[in-house]
Amino acid sequence: MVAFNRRNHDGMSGGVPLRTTRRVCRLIICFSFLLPFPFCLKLTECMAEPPDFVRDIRPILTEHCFQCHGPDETQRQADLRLDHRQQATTKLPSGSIAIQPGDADGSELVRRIETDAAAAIMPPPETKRALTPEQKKLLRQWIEAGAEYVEHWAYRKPVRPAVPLTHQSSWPRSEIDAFVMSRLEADGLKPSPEAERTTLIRRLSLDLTGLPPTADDVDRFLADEQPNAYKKLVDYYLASPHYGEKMAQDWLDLARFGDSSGYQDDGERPNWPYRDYVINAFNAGMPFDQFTIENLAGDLLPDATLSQHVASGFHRLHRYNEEGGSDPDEFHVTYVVDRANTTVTTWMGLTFGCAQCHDHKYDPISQRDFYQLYAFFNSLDGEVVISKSNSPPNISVPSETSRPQLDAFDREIAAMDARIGEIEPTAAPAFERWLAEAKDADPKNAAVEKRGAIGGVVARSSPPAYYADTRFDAPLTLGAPLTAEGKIAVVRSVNNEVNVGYFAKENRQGGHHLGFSVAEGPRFFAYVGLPDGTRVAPAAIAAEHGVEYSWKFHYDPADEGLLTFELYRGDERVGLSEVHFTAEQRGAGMMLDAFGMSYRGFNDADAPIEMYVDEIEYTATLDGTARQENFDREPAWSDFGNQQSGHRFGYDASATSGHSPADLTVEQILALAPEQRMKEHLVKLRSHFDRETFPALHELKTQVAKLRVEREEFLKGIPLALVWREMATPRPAYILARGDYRQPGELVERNVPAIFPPLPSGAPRDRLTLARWLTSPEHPLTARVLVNRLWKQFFGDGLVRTPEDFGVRGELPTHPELLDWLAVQMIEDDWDIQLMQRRIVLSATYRQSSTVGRELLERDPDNRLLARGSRFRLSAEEIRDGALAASGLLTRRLGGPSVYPYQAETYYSDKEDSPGEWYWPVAPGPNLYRRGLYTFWRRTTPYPSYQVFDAPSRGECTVARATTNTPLQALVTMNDPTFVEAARVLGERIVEEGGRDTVDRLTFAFRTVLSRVPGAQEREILSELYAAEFDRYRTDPAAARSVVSHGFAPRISDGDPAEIAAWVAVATAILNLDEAITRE
Amino acid sequence: MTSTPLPSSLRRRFLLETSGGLGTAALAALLAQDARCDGDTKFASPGLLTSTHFAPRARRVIYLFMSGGPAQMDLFDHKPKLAEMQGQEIPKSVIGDQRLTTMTRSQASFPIAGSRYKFSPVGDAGLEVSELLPHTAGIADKIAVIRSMHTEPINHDPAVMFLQSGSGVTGRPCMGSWLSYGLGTENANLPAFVVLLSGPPKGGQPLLSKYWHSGFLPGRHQGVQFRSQGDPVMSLSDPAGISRNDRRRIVSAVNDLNRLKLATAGDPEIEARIDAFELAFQMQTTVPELMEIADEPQHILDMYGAKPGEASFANNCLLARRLIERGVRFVQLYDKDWDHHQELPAKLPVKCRDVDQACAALINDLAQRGLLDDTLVIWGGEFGRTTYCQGGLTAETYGRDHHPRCFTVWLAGGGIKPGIVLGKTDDFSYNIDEDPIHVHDLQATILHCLGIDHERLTYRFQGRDYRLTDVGGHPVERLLA
Repeated sequence: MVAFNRRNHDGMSGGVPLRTTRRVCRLIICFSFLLPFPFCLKLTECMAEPPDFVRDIRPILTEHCFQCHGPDETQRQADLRLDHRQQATTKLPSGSIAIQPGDADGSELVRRIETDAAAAIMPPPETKRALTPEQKKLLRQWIEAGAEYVEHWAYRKPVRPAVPLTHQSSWPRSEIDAFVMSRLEADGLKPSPEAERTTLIRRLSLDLTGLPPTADDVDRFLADEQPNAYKKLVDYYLASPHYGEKMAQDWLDLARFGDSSGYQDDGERPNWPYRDYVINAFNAGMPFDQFTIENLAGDLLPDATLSQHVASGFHRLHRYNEEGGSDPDEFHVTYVVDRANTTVTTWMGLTFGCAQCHDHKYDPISQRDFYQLYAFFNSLDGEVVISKSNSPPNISVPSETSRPQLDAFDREIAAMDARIGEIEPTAAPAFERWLAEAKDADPKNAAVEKRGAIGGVVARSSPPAYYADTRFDAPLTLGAPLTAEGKIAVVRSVNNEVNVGYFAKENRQGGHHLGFSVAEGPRFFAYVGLPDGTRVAPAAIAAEHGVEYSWKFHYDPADEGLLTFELYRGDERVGLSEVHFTAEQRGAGMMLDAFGMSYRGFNDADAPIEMYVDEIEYTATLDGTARQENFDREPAWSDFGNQQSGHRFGYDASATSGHSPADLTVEQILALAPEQRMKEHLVKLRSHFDRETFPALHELKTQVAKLRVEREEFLKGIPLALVWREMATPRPAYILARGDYRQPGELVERNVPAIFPPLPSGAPRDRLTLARWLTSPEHPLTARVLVNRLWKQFFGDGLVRTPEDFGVRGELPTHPELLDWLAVQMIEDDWDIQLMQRRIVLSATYRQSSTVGRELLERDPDNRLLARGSRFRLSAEEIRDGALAASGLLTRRLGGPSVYPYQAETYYSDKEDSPGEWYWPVAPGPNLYRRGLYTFWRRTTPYPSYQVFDAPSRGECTVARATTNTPLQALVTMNDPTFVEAARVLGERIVEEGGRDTVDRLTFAFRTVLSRVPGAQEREILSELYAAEFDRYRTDPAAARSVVSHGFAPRISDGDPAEIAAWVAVATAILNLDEAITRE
Repeated sequence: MTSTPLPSSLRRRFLLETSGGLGTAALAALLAQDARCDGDTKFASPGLLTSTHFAPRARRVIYLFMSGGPAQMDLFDHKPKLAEMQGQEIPKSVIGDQRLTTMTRSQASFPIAGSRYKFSPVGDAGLEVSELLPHTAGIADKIAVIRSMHTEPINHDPAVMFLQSGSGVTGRPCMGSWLSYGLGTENANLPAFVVLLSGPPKGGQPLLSKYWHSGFLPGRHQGVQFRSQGDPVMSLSDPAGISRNDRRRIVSAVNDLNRLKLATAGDPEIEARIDAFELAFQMQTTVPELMEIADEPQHILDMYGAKPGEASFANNCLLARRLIERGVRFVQLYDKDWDHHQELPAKLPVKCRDVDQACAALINDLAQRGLLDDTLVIWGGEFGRTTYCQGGLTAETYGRDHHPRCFTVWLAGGGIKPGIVLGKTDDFSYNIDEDPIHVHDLQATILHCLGIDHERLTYRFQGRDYRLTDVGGHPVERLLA
């Protein structure tokens, strides 16, 4: 049996339980290339040196001791803390001293790890963290040697190290190379020769733009014999607009950018203006400190520009839960935690999230530190549980063409408002006087009228009648039969502005979607209101997704005064209420006042059933008891049930005969007591007055109102970006016991973790200060984390191979001095990313061939020493982009909304719910061939081929994607419609553009896909394939016709289908090569 | 054309795990296993574990997941006293400080809704099973019923994630992924972790691919959904006009060219790519054959209630048997629409009819083939339902809200003691009186049956060692045979 826990990344330091003989032979290999810190070539030297704290000791302490004797105060046993030398060497309450520097035998730690006594041995057996004999020996040796502690490297500010001198001086082109060479020399290794020029251009193009080079670019580079040809090539790709796309793709993984909400319903949440912002920022060469500030605090910048507001949407990109019944408090905390963790992972490369529940067990980050940083991100002025995709705060992002139109609207409206403002001081007092005179009008007639207009129930809030009752055209006395019916519209709002009042959901294409949907659970109550304020005959139904409800009302005095109220779910009756009115009631000419329906929101614990009948608010509880209250306040939109989850509701006003207050005539309104008049009534009166008395003013007001409506309509075609808006008063933040939102503890202030440099005194404690602090030259991590990611872009791995963890459990840098040199340089370069990238790709290190011989592979399988160039698989999107580029199908347009490339119709077939809600409108046209980063990103069910090629779900911040190698990937590149079509079109191009004979055509195909010419053996293999396929398709023309018809793209060749089909087979083979999906 | 063979140690290392993230783990495993024989691992690799921690009692798992949360008191947790208390308020002391969903939180009244179904004791242990599950009653002596499961989340999405991955937060590997990572697959031509959904969808919560995601484990440990519509596996079929022979020739050419590349570039990853293309080619044949249940004898189809060509839970149960027969490690069957907030009496019987016969048939079929001895079968949802009625209780109908405090799960097969009932809830099926079993305990037990110490199958990600059971869990000894 073996231990299966993963060992430390830094190789042997965890103490691998090997027999000594075996260890000897491994040591030579492992120590010499896995370990970045002082290493040696000979075993004897190794053994002679005292253990190194960083390499040998801290990993043991971290793995085996810190759980109980580390930074986490709540878990600490026996008051012993082993992560601080001072505390570890202090006398304990028990009287003993854990570590006596220089005296292993006098150290309690040594005694406890070496004892056989079950009760005393450390670590306790139940922790299953037993030490190996070698680990015990190392600890003993370390204490004997003085028990020196070294502060973790990543918490120290980087200092520019001296550039090492190397024996070999002709190879290094730059400081980078000197660091790499010095390490290689110490290891007795030589760098690899420079890669072929065809490899270099392909490598550069892929690394800087994510796309393979065009054949023309390759030709131009190969023909350029000037010494600065390569340098010019670097400039060329850095200047490419596709550079921004490449950089954005990686950043969007960190930013957890998706197009959907990411939880159960996973509705759309488009925010592509943010993606455009990122592309543009990189293309414009925005310095990283500025980029940081705009992402974390763009909204707080003085006179923030539109794009800075859009940038502040970075922390709106986390997932949002739309599931019915979700607790807003719970998800508020979830989101803020995500923002804090994402910030730290992205800028500081630490595993901050561990401190959500308890002090970090390994890194010196306390739970207090966690919530102090959390506090910067907890005051978003917006809803928590949403259904509305781009929920507020948001901002309209007009395009260059729509901006002037919008400005024109604003100018015109402002001009009219100014003219209104001139007349208003005269008109307003006149209106007041007129009203006062009208007050004395006899209300009697109107009252009778009103009585006749049974119902007239409206909601008195600014969104129009979302909550109407039905009223009858004629007085409903109980003496006559009556029938009425209508539909119940259950609405899930996607966009408040659009939906309220329409009770329809605007779909992406601007049409109205009449399949209503709500989350499970809301209840509708039907009732009949009587004039005495009581309510009878409640019937309840629960609304479900995508189901249409309707109601029928029927009253027949002849049928023993039976009044029925029925509710239907589709055609099925799901609710029935019956009331009998006695002959007495009927005989007395009793009249029904109204009937209506009510809704219970399910996200507000105290939400009563509210209904408004004849201007009387009834508040009912679920058991059906109703009480009457005077309607003495304006109900706010949020009063209605379920603001938190955003599920709106109401009647379909068009299906019933719902009326608004404005339906009362001027005379009827004047008849109301002033205190009974609603806002809408006053508007109507004023309008009437103006028309009669100030016709010019009336005309202006009419015009401006019309313009405002037109402006609103116009805005609907303009995308909304999610942005940050800070609450006027920040929410208090508390330490949450065990990270549980139900257990707030101590109140904390905004602050940064204590081990880092403090915030500047006097600066406001806001995100802007935080962002500036992150990019201050004093910060030990931001620059290192950034250059490490940039390094990874060009070598497949960072200098720190755990780019997400620079803490004590992360890997040590392979080239610590180089990392620090680059980090300091980054700061001195004023955070110029392109300058740093140029440095890296101009180095000799970068230009090495990635070909690896067996000896070097044995010595350094992971290329930690950089004695060769890196060879790694492309990302999911790049693999697709490459096939599209090779076929010539690629649409090179930048930016804009997400697109829907080929996806099997059945892919969402197991997704239930409102049909069409997850539609995927594949349509012929250029949007099928956009680059991968524009593909609509459904977070719970990502695009199938990307998922297979290890793209993340973007549900959370991802620093590094895995690169696996599976049969499912082969199925994608062979059979996925995008790849099949690319092969077809490439096959046609081979015939059309590749010359006449087979060798020319093979050369064309190879150059197009792989940027190089084929070798003789390669030509032979593919010629055989071509010949075999051509024979086969000649005898099966139907199959050939099928092959040349793949995909929506128009045919580009009218040549012999058999010939083309055979070339399609060859194209398929080339597109499927390892080399085609690999950057080498 | 032949490839230049790599040193076996390197080859093994690269075949074991080709991901950057796992390289170190695999290396550590290799270093630790100094005397390990040099077998051909390929994609039928035994996974990270080359031997299990204990003698495994089960080699594979079928999880019958009832998404939405079946009502335990209507199926397995008989509470006769509730019938007497029908319509009365559930005592406040029973609810205690229970967090309710915002769907019922604001109810003024919490009337007790007893089950309207008859229960009869069956089997040697006298397990009380509802009349809705007559076939399950018939296998009472083969299953172990836990009536005292409890979980933490109260909404579907987090609760499903919690059961699958040990955490309500998205991003952790699911159970099948852990097993794929730990144990690998026994069939090179099939994925280790296969997911089947009862189609066509009829309602209930969506089933999202994140429920079978490998989280931070490498992508090849992801569950692969075998679909009832279209290609059983995405992109499985060759495009029109490409015959099997064409495909064979293309794959051969690709691999010949890749071998040339391997000889010059020296990157062992290319060899893994060559294997991948061969396996993909084989999968194109084996998977459609496997999905073809029409070749099963009629009496087997009848036993499950399976109808070839239809998408159903019954068909999936039969497919699950075929999958594990072929060495798939973990088969996850999802059935949905068990979320009966309203109209439970109209909906629950339908769901029971959907699954009851097929579940029992699966157990009996596995048993008669001798497969039940080393196959672990689990049945259950993500949480239970409330005893109090959601909304108004009427004579005709009632509904129940989510209830994480107790629910029922049953297990059968390898490693499980058959015919037992474990755990007891209070008179209201609301709180657990005896033997509470947390989701992490269930997960630890499942791993235990497969020979794995749940605390020792870990993966380091972003500085922390993660495991399926998060920071909790104990195998439930009393369930073990």
